[in-house]
Amino acid sequence: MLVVGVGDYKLSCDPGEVITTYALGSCIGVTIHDPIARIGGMLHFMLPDSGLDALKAQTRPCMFADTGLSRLLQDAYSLGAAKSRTLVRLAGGAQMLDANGVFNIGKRNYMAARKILWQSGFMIQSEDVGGTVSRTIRLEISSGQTWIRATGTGEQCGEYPARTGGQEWQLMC
Amino acid sequence: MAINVLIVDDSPAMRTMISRTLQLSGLELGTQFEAGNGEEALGVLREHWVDVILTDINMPGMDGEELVRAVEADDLLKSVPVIVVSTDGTDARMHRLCSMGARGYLRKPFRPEALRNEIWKVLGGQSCTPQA
Amino acid sequence: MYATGLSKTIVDSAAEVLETMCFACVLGLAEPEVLPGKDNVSSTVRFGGDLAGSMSVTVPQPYARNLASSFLGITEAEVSPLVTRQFVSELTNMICGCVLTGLDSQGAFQLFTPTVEQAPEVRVVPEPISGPWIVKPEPVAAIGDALAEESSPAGDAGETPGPRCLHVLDTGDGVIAVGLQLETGYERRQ
Repeated sequence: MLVVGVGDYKLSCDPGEVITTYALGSCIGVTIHDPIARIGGMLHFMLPDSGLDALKAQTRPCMFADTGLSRLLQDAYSLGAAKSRTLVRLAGGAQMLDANGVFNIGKRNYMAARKILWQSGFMIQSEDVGGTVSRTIRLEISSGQTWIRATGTGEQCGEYPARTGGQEWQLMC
Repeated sequence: MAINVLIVDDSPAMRTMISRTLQLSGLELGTQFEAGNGEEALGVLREHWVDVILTDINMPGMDGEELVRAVEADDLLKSVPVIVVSTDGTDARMHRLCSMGARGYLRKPFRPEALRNEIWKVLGGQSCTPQA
Repeated sequence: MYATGLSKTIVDSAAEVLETMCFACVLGLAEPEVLPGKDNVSSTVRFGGDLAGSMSVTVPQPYARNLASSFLGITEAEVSPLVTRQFVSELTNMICGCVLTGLDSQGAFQLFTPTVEQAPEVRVVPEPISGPWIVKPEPVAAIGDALAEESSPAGDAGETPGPRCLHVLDTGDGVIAVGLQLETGYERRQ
């Protein structure tokens, strides 16, 4: 299993592979999958706009929606994924306090992803975003199925009570 | 089978946005026609076959409600499904348009996926094959 | 108080339209003074039915172009001044329709074709009674000559045709001013 960390992405064309990322919180997890070429990928980004940090945009492009999505998609095309066949799903973007106390970073991340994907010519196959839960997602390369689970640990704080235990995996449409 | 679509809206910006949504929706698209009001739409419909009509309501001249009435009253046109795309989300308007024969009703503002889903629903399972 | 209900509906409606169709997240409200002097695109929609009046949306030109590019899914370089104006017209149409549906979903309304102009001046007119600052877009005809003749900054509040409300929304990338003028009083349907 390939694990995508925060500010990271992974791609695979191995039909036996599974890609996962944990504790999305206010971050957005983007999964892409070309069902004909059987290529899939996942990005886990934290911030909406690389324009505010040119250095990080170079060294850690996957921290940001714009540079991260660009990297994910370009590499997918290089592996043989076709834009018109690729299905895109989004998860995360919960409303939480981040380190700077900015409450709406989750929504801004979500808006940034949607804006870039719309401009790039993608519609969203399905999404599970917002709210206050943290999410974990899993992409199966062979089938393209994306599974999602809400979890209560990690990034919640303040007035949002932590929820104990995980919930069942659910298939995203 | 390629789908011909007629987009009826007095806003050129909205017609462009809807057109782009159609192009990205996975439908096998034939010809996209555009009209700025009901009269122009009927003009297009007299000359060309379309498989689905997307119409706004508030337009100068013949509005969307009158267009739906005209389409439903025409023996040839009444088989063409009409989807209303409008900012008017009042109960009375929605009920009236649907009882007049509109097959779908989408409120503005809308996500592109919502328009795509409404079209797929109205066309009743038209296959959307990924194009290589 | 209906003024509060109007305010909330206007802000919520504008936010819904901007977020859904332009992927712009409304972060808060700004002071009217932040609207720059001349380089704005302004559109006005008149409406009738259970409620009658007009709504104006004013956006600084560069930000209007940015929002248009997001709406259409194209780059800013591809957005002409004409397309920008057409977009602001449609933005006004959508916000107005949302507001009217939000104020009374059991009612009925009709929207008329929006007018749009480039580079109107926006100035702040203080109200004699306590309440929000309001803005009269220039030229005054933008919200209807009859209304402008009736109202006066120093006049009796009782002569004011109906509530009016302006908010300047801040998305972090730019500001959008949304102004509503009702011709008659408004009470929320029970």
